[in-house]
Amino acid sequence: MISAIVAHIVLCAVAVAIAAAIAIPSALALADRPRFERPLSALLGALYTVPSLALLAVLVRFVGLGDTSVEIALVAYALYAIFRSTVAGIRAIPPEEREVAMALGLPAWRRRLRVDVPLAMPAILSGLRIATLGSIALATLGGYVGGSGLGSILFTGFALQNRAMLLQGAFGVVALALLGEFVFRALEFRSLQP
Amino acid sequence: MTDSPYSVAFDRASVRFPGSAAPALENLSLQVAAGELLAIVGASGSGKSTLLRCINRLVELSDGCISIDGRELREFELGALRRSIGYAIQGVGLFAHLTVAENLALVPETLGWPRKRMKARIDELLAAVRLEPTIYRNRRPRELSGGQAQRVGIARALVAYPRLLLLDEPFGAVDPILRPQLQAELLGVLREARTTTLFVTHDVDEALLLGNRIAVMHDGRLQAIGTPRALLENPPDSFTAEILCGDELLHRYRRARLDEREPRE
Repeated sequence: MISAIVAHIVLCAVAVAIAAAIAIPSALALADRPRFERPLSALLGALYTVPSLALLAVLVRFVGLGDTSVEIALVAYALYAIFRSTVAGIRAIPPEEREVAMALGLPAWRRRLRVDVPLAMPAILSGLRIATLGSIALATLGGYVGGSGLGSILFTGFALQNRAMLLQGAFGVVALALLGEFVFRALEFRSLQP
Repeated sequence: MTDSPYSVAFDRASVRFPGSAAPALENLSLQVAAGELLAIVGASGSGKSTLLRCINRLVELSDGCISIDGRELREFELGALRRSIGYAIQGVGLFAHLTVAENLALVPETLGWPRKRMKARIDELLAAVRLEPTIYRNRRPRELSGGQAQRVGIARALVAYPRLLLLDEPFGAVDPILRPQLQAELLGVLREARTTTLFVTHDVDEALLLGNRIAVMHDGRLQAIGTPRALLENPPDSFTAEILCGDELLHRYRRARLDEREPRE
């Protein structure tokens, strides 16, 4: 059980980290360039709407059973929420603040890091929270395709008609989701206090 | 240490914003000498803020040109141009997530100043605007009063030895009771800084107190420009007379204050 919880957390943390490493920089680069941002947004949105079981089935076909397939699916689903919320956060910065940053003559990248990112932080964190919760839920399905998380306990319990195992898996997922929610809410709250 | 102050020249500059019939700035020509302090007065919507914002290219001209030290604005690299111009605006302007010192450090950091020089300069300026550095350095903007925040805004505009200073109603959000003190302080700080300054205000007394010359804006046009004395004693037109001189009593009061500031020979 413990090892399944740890595996579940690792799966989700790695997925959100990889997705953030891709989505946040691209959102920062493209937020002011709607011509490029819109197609990417549409692409990630389309990916997001693919039913998860279908995506897993396709991945298993090409990558095989196991955690790698699950990880790829998790990243694919996490990208959209993180990308969208980062773009929205940057665009929601009051025009006066952006203008002052421009008038100071800060180079674009420095303006982004010193001014835009801190101001957009609550939105970025809420994107990460949604991505994390989505991952925790989705990683459970990974049990179907030989993934190692709590899904493996849940689906084994289901197959064996072992109610104790089934409940362990289910409660584990719920507890993780609540924990994730709590951690990110706390971070968001902190980022709102300058 | 300080580069020489800029001179600024507008040559038939016009700005038209899309979707608005009347131009924000119309056929405006004026010269500001190096080291001069030009006060710009006018009602809201008269184009006085637009005039400032053309110089650091927050607004682009539709027609005409602006040059600095005889070179056209477009020949300057935009970032370098803006870093050499201090800009302070009414109200906010300070970043809430940064401390006072971090707000002041934004431009020096970009210019690559060593840490020690940066800290010394920041403390020097905070002291100049009468904010004790040891107390205020690490405060956040929300822990400052309106007047204190304005002073930090002016300090930030001055921190990197700007060759030109653009102040847009820097005391607009300040309690009227505090304004005279802030104005007197600003005058001292500006004398010290020895830079060219364009100062927008809708407060005529502030303009008369601070400006070497005064420009009167009306509906996007330059209505009049001259020294406070010339404009007060011989207003060139009725509009200028109305806003600068006011009624008989106000006119006498303003001339008396001017005599106090610059006694006649």
